[in-house]
Amino acid sequence: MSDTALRDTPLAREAAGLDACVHCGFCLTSCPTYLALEDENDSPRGRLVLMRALLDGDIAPSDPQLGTHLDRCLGCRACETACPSGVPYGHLLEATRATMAPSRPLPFAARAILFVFARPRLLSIAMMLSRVFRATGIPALIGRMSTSAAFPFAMLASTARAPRRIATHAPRGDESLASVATLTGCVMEGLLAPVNRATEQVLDAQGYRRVAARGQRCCGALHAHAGDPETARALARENIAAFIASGADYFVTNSAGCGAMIKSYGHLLHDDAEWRERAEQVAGSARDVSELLAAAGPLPAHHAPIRVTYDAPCHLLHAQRVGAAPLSAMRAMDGLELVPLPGSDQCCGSAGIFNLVEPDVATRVLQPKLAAIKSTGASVVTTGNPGCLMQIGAGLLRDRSTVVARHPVELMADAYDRSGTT
Amino acid sequence: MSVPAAVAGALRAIVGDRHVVEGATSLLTYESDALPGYRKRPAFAVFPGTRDELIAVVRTLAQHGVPYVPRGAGTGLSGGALADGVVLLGLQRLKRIVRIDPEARLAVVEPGVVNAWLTTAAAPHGLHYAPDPSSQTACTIGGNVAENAGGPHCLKYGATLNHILAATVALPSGELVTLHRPSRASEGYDLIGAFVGSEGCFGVAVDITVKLTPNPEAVRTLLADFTSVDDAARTTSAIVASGILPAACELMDRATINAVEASIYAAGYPADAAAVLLVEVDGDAASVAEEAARVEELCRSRGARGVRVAVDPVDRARLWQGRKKAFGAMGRMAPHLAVQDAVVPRTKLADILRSIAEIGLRHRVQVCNVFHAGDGNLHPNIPYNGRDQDEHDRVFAAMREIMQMCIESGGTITGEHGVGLDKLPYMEHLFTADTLDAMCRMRTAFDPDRRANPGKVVPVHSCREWHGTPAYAQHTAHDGVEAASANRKYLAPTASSTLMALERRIADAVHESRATGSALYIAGAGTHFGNPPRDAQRIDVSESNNVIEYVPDDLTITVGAGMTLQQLEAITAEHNQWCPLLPWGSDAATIGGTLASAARGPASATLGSPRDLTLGLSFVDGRGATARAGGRVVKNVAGFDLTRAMIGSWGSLGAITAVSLRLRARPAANEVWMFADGSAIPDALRAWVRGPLAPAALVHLNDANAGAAGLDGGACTVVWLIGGAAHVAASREALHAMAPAEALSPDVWRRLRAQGPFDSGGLPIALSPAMSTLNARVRAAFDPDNIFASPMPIRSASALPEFAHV
Repeated sequence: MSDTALRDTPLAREAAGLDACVHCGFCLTSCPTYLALEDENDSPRGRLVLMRALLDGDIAPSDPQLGTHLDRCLGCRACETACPSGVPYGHLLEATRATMAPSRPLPFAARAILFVFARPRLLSIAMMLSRVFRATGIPALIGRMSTSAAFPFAMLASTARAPRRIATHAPRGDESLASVATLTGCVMEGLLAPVNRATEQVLDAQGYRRVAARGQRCCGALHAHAGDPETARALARENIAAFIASGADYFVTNSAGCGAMIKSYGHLLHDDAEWRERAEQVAGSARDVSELLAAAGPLPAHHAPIRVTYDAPCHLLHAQRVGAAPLSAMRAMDGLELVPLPGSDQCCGSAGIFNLVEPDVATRVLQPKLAAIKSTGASVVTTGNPGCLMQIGAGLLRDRSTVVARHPVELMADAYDRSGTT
Repeated sequence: MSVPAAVAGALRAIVGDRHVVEGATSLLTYESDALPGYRKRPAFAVFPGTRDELIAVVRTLAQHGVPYVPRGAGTGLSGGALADGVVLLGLQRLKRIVRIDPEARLAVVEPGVVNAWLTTAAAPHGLHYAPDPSSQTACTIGGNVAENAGGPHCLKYGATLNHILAATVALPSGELVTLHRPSRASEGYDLIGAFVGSEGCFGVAVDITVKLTPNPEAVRTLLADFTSVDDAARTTSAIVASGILPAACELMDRATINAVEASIYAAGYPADAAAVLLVEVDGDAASVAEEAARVEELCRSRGARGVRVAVDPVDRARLWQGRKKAFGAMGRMAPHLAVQDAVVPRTKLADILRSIAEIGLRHRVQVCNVFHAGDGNLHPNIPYNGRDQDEHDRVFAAMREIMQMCIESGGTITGEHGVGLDKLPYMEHLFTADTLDAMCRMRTAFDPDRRANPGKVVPVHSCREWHGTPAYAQHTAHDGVEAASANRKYLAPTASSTLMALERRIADAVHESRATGSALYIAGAGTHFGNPPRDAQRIDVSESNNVIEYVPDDLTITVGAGMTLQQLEAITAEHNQWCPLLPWGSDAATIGGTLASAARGPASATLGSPRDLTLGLSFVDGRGATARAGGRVVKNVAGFDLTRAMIGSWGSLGAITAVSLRLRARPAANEVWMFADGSAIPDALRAWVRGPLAPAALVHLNDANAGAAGLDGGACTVVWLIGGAAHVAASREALHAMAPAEALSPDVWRRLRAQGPFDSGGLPIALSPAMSTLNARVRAAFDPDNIFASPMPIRSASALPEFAHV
């Protein structure tokens, strides 16, 4: 380590994670940007080498090549489930971005998005305006235009759904399984509210007792991924307080990205003596909705017969290591013919706001995903994360495909509706 | 070394700006492979995306005289793909599977195709690509070819060499040649054999034709749990010596088990075991059941506490994932990892492992062993903190001792990782100066300008003809190798004086012949080469016919090349073993002659041909120098493969004087059956021959041949069933279900071989001008004056032939 080595930076605090990398290269073929761009600098091993050089002071935080290759990382963390030595890549990526942030401001679009998401009033206004715009039908028209600038319009259009009524509580059996507080979420409630309603309905159907966690905010994932851990920590503290005050057994999310963030609150607030313990408590009680459904042995129901495939959200499969639960939950629904999606463990290119700041790479990564979906012959592709729903949904819309992207709980709620279970 | 600035510009014009990587930051990741203790900064890196781009890049480098280093996925473990100030030629973008031919059971792939992708693509046809290095999810076929990569399953299925049928190669000069397996003298030397394992020094493969292997009908995977490493090692030897050839037999010690169990690939290995053996048997259902039971019994009777059998494919995959990711899992133990790859005779495994433990203790380092026990291919790995100089020094002192000990045991320094940079210092401990010089001359035949992967594999100062060249001056400055005295580790200490005397006599004859201009003719039993030229002086090697070393439990033997097949059979039969060379023709033929003519027999496709069964050989070349190529252990990728070049060289490169061969346990059951022409159900016969119960050999005899063989029923088909009792019984049953077969005496087989060949060997392949030049250069490297009279039509020109300018 040279004299210019970075000390007392977020990356320096994660240095042990870098030491675990033996350079074996087993991560290479798991990385969507390596497969798409074919340069090892755009692979986990290449980025870890850059991180090491940054830490050792061999390259500057402002090094443009460092910035390019770190920016292009989707943060899908597929490399973590390929890594035999357990390199905490996701944490290293966030720490590196945080270390680079002071000398390298984010693009304007990214900063604007982060600014809004950290401010609830502003966020709800933005979401309302988006919904009004969506209702005009204009985003759907623009979204089908071939220019890549139209992609965000297609994303917005893909979120359109028929409203769902608010579930009425009808638990099965006498005993409640446990109490749950749901994370409302920013995009989910703003653009995909019917998914939240469906989530509530399927939780009720299993017998979970829902309680409200008032005062909750954005989970902070977007800020942490973009190199702004301070804002992420501030948001995390509010969520921790809100959840603990709710007294619920589980903090449940239907957004894989948010769930992954909440599950790593302990790590995020590790150096905060006042909050660390509570952060770990909340992280330990966080569950993806599919985990609770699978654990309950979901109430069977009949769905209209359709062929369905499932694309694993990276932050559910790779970050939370939840792979089988969504499938076993859907299998309880008669009529759903579940067919495997080739490469379902590969990122779709959404990755938070990645598709907005690195549209070219995101599109290259999306193409094989759309081809794989088409190859299954399914009419619905399910996935449990708003970013993925919008990325895949937009891709399908632009391809003028008849396939739609849905959250697994939407299909389950449909089946319960059909079977009169609510 | 500086690369002219114009070169990067010219390459950019070929591959596009984005695919030439320059600048210190972006080159960092290309400074090392998977052994990051070595780092070298390339001048820049270029990544062609198509076959045409690759060829254009190689030609541009040739025009500018620029050295380059090919690199696949950078998963190598020997520092082989490091470019020190020269151009790095990355091949990972060439990842197209060109075609899969399920009927012919082969695939054509570009060099950047990932090993595991090929198996995935072949799976719908019930086929797979057998070599399975632990890095198979990331490493490329091109890299596998460069290193002659192994993997757990090469115990039964052979290493990469055995699975490469052909390759289109861009020679460093930019010329394209198609290297293939020759089937007759007119097709030149086995240069695909020499190319596999040449570590990027002989050129770059543009496309590679590989063999695909049918998935076994049944597989059983067992995990045996031992309280002592000794017991596990001895059990390995017992399993292999018992005649069972497992698909794989892997050993992991406690330190490795703990690393794996702490990882995402935790496989449920017993944490308190001193060692586990992971044994897999595969084949037809009947023999798998029989062999699995036998393996389990052998494990238990030799101290296994328990034997767990994988219950389903998921469980089996989990057991294997743990093994295959073990090397990576050691990353969690310390920031750095030293990795080795020595091979030792299997019977010495237990002693060597004990010594390794002792060396580790003495140097206060933790050695983690995870290795291919069935092959005796050790991987002692030492996790350490390289920032602590004292610890670093202790680790490398321990590694040197371990390597030295493995060499002393009659082993080799690398079984599958290659020499690269890491093992250069050991090459002179393993090979004689003349052998290293022969390797250098082989390399020069492919790469006259020595531009491909400079400074790797053979220490530059070992290459006599390089002395005084700029490349020599540059590389000896930093390869850190001191000239060591020649040694004879290849041969056992008991190396016979007969052999040495013969070699001296041949060398004298060669020197005399060079002085007088007369021709020499190498003769064994005189069964293969036909009539010698009248004016040629006969060199008789038949007197060198004794056993030099035979350790039955290692299943290897080293003999004088003059030994006949008959003698070899008699000697090995005493231990219930054999070497299934079994060529067409008389068993009075010598082993040397069998190798020199690459003689094949009716069962070569299933039991192995000379190129598959030969571990190493000694020869005196046309300059009077004696080289000892290869080794005595069953897996060996140290240095360039002179052995494969000599096999099928028809005495044109040198006189083979001694040979090390792989042996097998004699099959328990041995039956010969015949059925008359037209009596078999055609579809069923075809399925049988391609299925798991296929015969070891099948020969079709016309009326005349049948009569000559004493079979009086007219034209017929004779099949040979060998193997375990269960396998042969099942195969026989399948035969009876489709044809009214009649049993013959097993002796018929020998008679048939003596009368053959009954197969045509296919149409001859004509050599292209570039291939003729390359072959002539190989001959010139070993026999510059054409003193050997040989049926091989290759001649070295009076001046060394140059490649056409491209």
